[in-house]
Amino acid sequence: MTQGISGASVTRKARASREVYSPGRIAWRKLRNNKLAMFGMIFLALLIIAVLLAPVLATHDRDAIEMFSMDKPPTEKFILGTDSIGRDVYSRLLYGGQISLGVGLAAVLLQVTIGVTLGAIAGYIGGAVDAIIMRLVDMILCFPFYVIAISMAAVFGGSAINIVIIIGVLSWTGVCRIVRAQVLSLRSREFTEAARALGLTPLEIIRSHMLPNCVSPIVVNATLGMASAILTEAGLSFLGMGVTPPQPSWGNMLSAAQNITALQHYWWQWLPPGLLVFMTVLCVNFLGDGMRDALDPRTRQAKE
Amino acid sequence: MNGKRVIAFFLILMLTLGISVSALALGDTLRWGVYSAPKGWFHPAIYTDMYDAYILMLTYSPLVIQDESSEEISFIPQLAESWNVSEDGLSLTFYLRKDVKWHDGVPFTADDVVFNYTAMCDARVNSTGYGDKMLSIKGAIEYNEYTTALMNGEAEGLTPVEGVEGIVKEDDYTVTFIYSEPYAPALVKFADSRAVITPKHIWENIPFEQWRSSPELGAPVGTGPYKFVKYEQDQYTEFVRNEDYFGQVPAIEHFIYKVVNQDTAQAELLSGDLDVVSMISDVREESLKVYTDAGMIVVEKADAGYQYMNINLRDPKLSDVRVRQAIAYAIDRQAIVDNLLNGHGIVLDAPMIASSWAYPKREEGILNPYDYDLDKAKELLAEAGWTDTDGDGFVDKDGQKFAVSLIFPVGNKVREQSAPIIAQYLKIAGIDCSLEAMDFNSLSPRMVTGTDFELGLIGLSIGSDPDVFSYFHSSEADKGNFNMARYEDADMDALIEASQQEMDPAKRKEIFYEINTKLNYDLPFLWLYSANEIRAITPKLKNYDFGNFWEFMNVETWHFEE
Amino acid sequence: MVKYVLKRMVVAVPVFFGITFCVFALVMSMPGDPFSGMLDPSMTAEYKRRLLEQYGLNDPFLVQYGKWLGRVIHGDLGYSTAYKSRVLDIIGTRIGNTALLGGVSLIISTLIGIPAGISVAMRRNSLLDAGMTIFCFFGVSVPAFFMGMLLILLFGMTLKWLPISGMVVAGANNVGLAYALDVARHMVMPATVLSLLNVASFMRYTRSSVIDVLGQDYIRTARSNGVPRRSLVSRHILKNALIPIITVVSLQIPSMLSGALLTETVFVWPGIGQLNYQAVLNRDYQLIMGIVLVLALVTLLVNIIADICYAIVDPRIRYS
Repeated sequence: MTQGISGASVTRKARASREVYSPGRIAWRKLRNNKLAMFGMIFLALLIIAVLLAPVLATHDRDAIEMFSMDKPPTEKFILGTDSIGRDVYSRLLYGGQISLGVGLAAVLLQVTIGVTLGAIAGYIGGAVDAIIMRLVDMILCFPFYVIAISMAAVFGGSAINIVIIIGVLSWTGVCRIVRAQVLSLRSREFTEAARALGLTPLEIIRSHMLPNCVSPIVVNATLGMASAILTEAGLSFLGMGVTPPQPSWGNMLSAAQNITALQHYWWQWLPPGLLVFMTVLCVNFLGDGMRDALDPRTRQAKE
Repeated sequence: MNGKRVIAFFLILMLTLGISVSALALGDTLRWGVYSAPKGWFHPAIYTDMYDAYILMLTYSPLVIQDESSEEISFIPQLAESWNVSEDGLSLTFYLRKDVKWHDGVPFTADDVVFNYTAMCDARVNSTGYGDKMLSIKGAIEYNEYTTALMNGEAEGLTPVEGVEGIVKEDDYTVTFIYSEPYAPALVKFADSRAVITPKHIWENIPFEQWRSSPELGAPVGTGPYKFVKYEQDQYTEFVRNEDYFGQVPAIEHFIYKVVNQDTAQAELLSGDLDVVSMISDVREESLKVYTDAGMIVVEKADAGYQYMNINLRDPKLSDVRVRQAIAYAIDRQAIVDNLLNGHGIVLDAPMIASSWAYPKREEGILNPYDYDLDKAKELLAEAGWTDTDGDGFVDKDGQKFAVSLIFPVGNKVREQSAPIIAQYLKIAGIDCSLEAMDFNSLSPRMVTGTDFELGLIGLSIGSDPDVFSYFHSSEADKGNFNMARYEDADMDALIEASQQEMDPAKRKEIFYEINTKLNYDLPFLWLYSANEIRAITPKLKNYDFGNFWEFMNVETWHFEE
Repeated sequence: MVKYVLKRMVVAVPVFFGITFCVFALVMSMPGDPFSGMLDPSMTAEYKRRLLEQYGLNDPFLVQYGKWLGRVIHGDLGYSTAYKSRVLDIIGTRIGNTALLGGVSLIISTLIGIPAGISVAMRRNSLLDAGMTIFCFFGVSVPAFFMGMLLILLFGMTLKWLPISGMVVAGANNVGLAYALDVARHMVMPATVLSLLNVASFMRYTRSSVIDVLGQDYIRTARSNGVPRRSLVSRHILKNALIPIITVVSLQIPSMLSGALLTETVFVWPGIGQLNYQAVLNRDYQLIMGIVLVLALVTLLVNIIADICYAIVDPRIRYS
């Protein structure tokens, strides 16, 4: 099995042919050729721009209530209708995206950061440190998610940042295990010894020689994690423990419209946030798949 | 391949199951759906929430219940055939029915009544009913203190107190209650689910300290129209009619109390899985139309409770009555009722049931309705020193912006929806209002037992007597109970005490008018609206009705007709 | 092997302490107490104080934890303040319901998810792959409560094929086969909702690990040597792809037990997830702790079983 040494060999090969491409550029080139991934990326980029421009694009104030226009279908004034207390669904959708995308991205970032750091430390140092970190992983895996999340929300309050922390802290274990296993298996390989002999610091060794080998599972994990973070926020909203009202999120917009009457009669209240969650999850995964293929040294070798 | 086969298998399974639905015939069974499960605390001295109370109302009986169809305050005999109050208002005598049997066949007598109410005063039982019902009965406090000493092992040397002096068994079917002072709400206190009578022959065998953990707690033996059969935690509770019921024997044989999800209860009624859906809160036109379109019957009544905005009177900003009045003018409560409740409710002018004799009606012109008036609100705020000097849209005073936080418990959909509406009204008036939603147990230490809040939303369901002692008497302000506004006013205390002691109905009404006028001006909290109680039933169910104070007031006459 | 399992169990002891201590600290620091939610004009502060005393809730935190631990070591999980019965009895009546629902949906999702994942991985970038991918993401992006409502609207209300809530027809008191059928009917919708999410994630992971295996040199060698597809899948790919799949499935079991909360809430399924949620809302500390303990035990057991499975699948893995 020759996995793992490819990063270095590709660079060497590239140098030899005088076309100096960094691994990053090669990956980017490959990503650009992947239509689904590009579609996902562009859609997400547009979505992010749109929600960031919410103050400009919104037609109404985020929380403005029109007492006489509750549950109204789309009209010229309210292009996506109004919610159950007469707020503009379209404007709230834009602002809600800030929370949902923000929570999703930040939570994934947090869980990957914690997971990779602790996983690498555990795998590289081993011994007692490894044992302690792995026991911590075991502990968190045993936590019943919603119970802990609800208790934490009750203790710390239900702000968006707290929800990111709750999700991040409770879901880094998958990444941690993946990274640890990989680092553990590569630690004793010859090339690691060689790198060490060349005077590379552990951090450099881990970053440039070990992590690239676990990109694929990390990306799958992170993309599914993004989806589940958005849904977890929705679930917490459903239980009344989501972001502070009147702040909108796609999750709480969806859960506000969850009764039978709304489902049957007020499609504009649940279809748009539902579609956006779906499209986001889909695009994140397209992008994730593309990134995995692009970054995976093996597929790189296979095609060159 | 494999996957497809599995999918096919499950599709077939689903279809077979679907077709075999064809209603498992249940015969004569009523399925009554409500959103929360009882906890299984089926004892009047111990239960704490209304879902357990429903079960007590089916299985037990009180001495009397209130006649809710009557305008005047009047009572319907239950275990007591008749009663009379002495001239001086100091004693109340009940003459009991002689033909009542407990569900296990043992005859019911005055001993049961005496035992039941004595136990309520016993500290070892630690009954929730003691503070509410027993305090004014002669000797209750002494007995409670003595049993406290017994419980703590400090009773040595004390003169034993054998029972409550004011609970007297005259003969096997006559019981008299003696009060230390005239007590106007006396009879009402015997007419609710906390006042139902439990059997002495069962409970006397269990040491008082162990009542809370005894298996008998989960298997009530009563005298009510239905006998308890089975309690499936968080699923359903099953009853069968009491063939020996002292009243009319119920027409429907089985009664099922089923726990349902409030978002899907509608579907269950329509699909025939339920016969009655209780506590409908989605009052939108389309939602109610779903019921009527399917031929269901919607039953609606004014509620004996209301939602209010609690105000922390110890907060320096909110202790100013002008600020509170400004808040009242700033919130268009009528618009909330018209739009959010779709008209299924009313705006209140005082903290009482609008139909009560003690509540001054709008047309009497006594109470200020605080109709929406933004100018008036701003004027009052300015009078109190709050004006917008820096032009940020919010009023300020001494360089401080008027910012408040409104906390509310999650669970009641309409109340959750009303919070942002209220915040917007306050914002328009120049008060910056942020929202905090939390579960009730998190809210309680901040607003009920503590005072770490500014504004809070909460609901009350109130008793049939207009007594407001627990809400507005200063002695209740720090008890971690219903005086959550921390209203302390000597004049009000005097009025409340007078209202409790006045036995003459006309004079008592006058006192209540005075109380309401004062509360209406002082606004210790802002009563928002009273949403109607709505039930939906299958058209097959005839003679259905429900009471505000006694849910199953005519359950024995309900019957099915095709 | 036996030695390994024993070692795992010894290692689990500090983990148990860690879990219970953390959860205890967390639930105890939630605002409120078991009685603060009871609001009744007749309930005095004195009454509540006495109750707190009676349940030992006025003791300092560490004392309470110590007492709890002491009882647990003697096999007593304590007493529920909300349900007024022994924690063990309450969990006993509920865990079966959750295991049934979780077990059935685990079987369904494994049977569908893994074969589907392998087959789309073999036909990567085909139309089937794209279609299944979109279905998967639909599965993971629709909240359980929303999916539940949609099913109820369709099968419960419009078609009237399936019962909407509960586990049995209340009061029917069926026995034997009739009972089993009754439960099965009630289980169709919640099991579908739970499975959908897992099918999607099992399929994604399977697809991804099979693709990884396909990229390995020996598979390419085998392919170019003309090894028939069927034996390629069964002999080489499945075996090597199974390890990450076992990991994912084993990770899913504990979260199925505790994470079915939303599904259980929508369908009023009397399971452990809902019980635990109620326990948190009621500040029913001992019940929360009891459930956490039981779930932790199950998780540990599942992990050990997963390890044994690794060894069966891949004899190269040895435990020392």
